[in-house]
Amino acid sequence: MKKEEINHLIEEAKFYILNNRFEEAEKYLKKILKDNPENPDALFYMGLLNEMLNRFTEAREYYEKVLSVSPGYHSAEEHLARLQGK
Amino acid sequence: MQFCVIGLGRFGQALAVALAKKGHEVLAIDRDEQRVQEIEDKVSQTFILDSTNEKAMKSLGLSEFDWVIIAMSSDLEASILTTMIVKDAGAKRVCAKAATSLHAKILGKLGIDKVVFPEHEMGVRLAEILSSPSIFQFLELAEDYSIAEIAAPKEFWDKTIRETDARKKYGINIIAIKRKIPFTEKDGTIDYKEELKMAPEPSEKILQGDILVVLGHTKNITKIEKATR
Repeated sequence: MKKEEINHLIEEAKFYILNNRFEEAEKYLKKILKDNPENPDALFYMGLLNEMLNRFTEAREYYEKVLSVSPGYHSAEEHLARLQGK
Repeated sequence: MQFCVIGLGRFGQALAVALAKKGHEVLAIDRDEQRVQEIEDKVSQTFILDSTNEKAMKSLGLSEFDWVIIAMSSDLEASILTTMIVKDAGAKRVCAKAATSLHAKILGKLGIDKVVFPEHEMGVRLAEILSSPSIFQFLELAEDYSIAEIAAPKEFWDKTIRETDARKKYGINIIAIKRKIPFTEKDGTIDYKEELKMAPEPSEKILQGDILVVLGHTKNITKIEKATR
């Protein structure tokens, strides 16, 4: 998958997240992850949409994966800290 | 209102300070000087006093208080003696904390107005929360009625409260919605904040990810919680 195509899919996913349409956003992200299972942005937004759907265990797993493929990914660190105790 | 809190362990201290914060007049008593000092400046008045000392206790004018709360429970004898002295001194309403179910029974027999059993109650509440992954908060109102925070079940998504038919179908009332409001950060990433919509209109639409604050029969709340999985 080309970088442009990935960026395009990420933007689509973000659009749906901004409109509280998490299930739709998930479809675009899964398309990316199918070919690029270690794409940090796709993993991060998977974490975010799971968090927003109150699925905290799944969210945590995605954020941890982000940090394993891209150490120091700031937003993932932040959200992981926020999920403490949830 | 006027409260007298006897016994300033962790429970008693938290109770006395919380009541004082709500603007009530609180007299806090313990026989331990250090415990009294710890909350001295947070409540209206404090006394270092052994609550099993009948003469001293009767000089406090306990009949003036709206509630006398006996907050110590580890010393069974002291708890029972204090309860009797407080009742004898003419306290209007008495509440006591029990450490065991037997202790609770004895206090009940002494004719006090309210027995609390926090370890037991907290245990039951925690069991409710832990066994139901999509119940986030749980508060038992009466024996069978509760308020709970639950993830909005998928079948409610994109429907108005009226359309969900929650009251008829599940026997619950939606009293508030906690909604995630997404926004774009300066660097382009998305984050969200949570907003509480109190007493939502029947025309309010439920969105993906909403947390519903519901009031209803505990059995019905459990039923709807199962539907969210």
